[in-house]
Amino acid sequence: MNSDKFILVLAVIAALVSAISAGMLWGTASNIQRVMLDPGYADVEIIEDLGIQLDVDAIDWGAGVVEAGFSDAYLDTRTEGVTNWDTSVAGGQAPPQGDSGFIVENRGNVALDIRLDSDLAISGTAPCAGTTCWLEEGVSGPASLEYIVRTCSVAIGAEADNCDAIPAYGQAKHTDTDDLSASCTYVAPVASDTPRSVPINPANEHFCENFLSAGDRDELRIDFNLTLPSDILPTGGSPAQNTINVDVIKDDGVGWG
Amino acid sequence: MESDGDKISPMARSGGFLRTVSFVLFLMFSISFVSAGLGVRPPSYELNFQPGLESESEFGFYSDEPGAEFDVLLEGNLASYTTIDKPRINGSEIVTVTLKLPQALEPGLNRVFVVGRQVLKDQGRGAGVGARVSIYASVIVYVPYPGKYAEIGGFETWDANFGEEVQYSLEIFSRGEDDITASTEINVFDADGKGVAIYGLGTGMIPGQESTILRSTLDTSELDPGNYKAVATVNYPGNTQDPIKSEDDFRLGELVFNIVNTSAEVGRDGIFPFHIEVESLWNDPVEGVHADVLVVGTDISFPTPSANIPGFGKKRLTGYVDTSEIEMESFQVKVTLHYEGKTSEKIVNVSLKKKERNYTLIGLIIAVMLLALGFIIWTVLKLKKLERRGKKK
Repeated sequence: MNSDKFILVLAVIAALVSAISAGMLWGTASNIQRVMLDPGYADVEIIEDLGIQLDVDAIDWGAGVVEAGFSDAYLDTRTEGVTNWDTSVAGGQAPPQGDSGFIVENRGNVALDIRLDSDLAISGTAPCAGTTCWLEEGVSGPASLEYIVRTCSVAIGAEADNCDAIPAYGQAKHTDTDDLSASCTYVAPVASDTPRSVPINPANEHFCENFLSAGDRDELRIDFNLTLPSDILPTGGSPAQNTINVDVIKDDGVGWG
Repeated sequence: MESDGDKISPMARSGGFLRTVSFVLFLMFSISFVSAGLGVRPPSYELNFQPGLESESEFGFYSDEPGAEFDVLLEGNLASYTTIDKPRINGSEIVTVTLKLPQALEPGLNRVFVVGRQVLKDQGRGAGVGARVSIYASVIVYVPYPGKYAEIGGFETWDANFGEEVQYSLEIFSRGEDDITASTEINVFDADGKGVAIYGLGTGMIPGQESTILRSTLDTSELDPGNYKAVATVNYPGNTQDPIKSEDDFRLGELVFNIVNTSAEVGRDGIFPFHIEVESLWNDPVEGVHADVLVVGTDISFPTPSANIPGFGKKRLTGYVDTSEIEMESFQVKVTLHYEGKTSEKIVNVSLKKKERNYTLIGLIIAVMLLALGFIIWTVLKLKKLERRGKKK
């Protein structure tokens, strides 16, 4: 008898649990049904993304002196080489092979405007005000850091790269290997063939607008040439390095204006 | 710039050891810069001015370089009305910008730039120059002009093929306090600047501080293939500014491919690549573009592989020419380009590369000859010496 009562209680509990479970299942199923019967829609909002990548962001010209017997050394990223630059002296250090100019890639989904300037004056008359000059002008004259930006119709790295024919140092080049179209509209007067001195902050040069984010047209290269007279000196109290500031803003027709 | 410079003056050489050491030391100082992908989402917000408005905006600065630091700076004419919740961020972080506008501002565009500027690190790399990227995000506040004032926010036209309609998009802003009733037209000019078509886009009302976008197509069936300039003009009663205009270029494509350039010279006595640069004047991609090349006056010919060329795109086709049977120093080549059942032809002059003297081999032969001559002279002298000794004995 006791055993029958126990089984009866167990059966009641089982029935209650089953009923509660069925109720919960029904609630869930009706929700699912509502979802299935409601008219569907997709809501996608694309967030604008201003993104940039510098694959090469430092130029290392090693350590050395202007080769004896020459008035200047030319440290040129366009040719990825140095001329009259003696790194065999005590303390010298050969520059790494293949150091190139800055390679800038638009990694976002909006077109960009780019401008650049330098933190320090490239060269000044002695005694240089240490906080503003990078190199101290010698008897032979000042140093110079120059660049040119222009569009190459044939990509760098491709055969017959027509950028190599430019008779000057420094330029912006496209790294595309297939599409021969331009990726950037260069802003006058930068688009001329004349070498441009890197402006000193707060002056700056807005050289590229509408730099596209399209997959095969989203890279450019900025090359530099540093000309060092034989008797140029680093300024006493200034930092050894010079920094090129690359400012980037969404190309919305207003820019920094 | 010549690669070999002038000889330096004694004065320039003076200074010697100290200067050399100084300079080497200078370049041995080490610097390094953060190399990273970085950016901001979104890059800008736009607001219409309200006196005393308080607004919060969030900018998500990001970097894929762990540990990369950025200073967050404020620039622009609204910087003094703006605060940020953090002056420096590490890696990817959200910066909250709080803008408390004054009761009045100059009409037009006012803004604050929120600048994420890389913090440079000293990590012991070689010296030179380095790049520091600054990402400029912005909050733009438009203050209404008194009365009526319109601006064109953007005007774009898209390339099409001959006979097709050209799509356009024109955004007009009413930046004044009052509504405007704008009538709009698009004038089209050919490559010589001659007006060839006018399209009236109608008249519509734009409430003050609002905008409208007109998107439709232009019927260009009367226009020839070529390059055109479209100029959008917005007029409205009460306009006190210069005419409001914006322009964009478009092309009407023609199913023609131009042979833009070819190799001017090829190597001799062997198989060498021959490049043909082609340009499409058609707006759509074309598949299977290839060329057949014939050396004029011979039976030497070769094809190039097929290529797919995008609309108005350029591409280089490369075939290989066997020059072992070409005896002329310069010759003509006929390039026949095949595309979509059509052909373009061009005859170009090509020359063989100049014979290069093998100076190493010549030098080696001369050296061997000199050695042989020296050996003979030495042998003769030796023999004579022995002969003299023999006679003495």
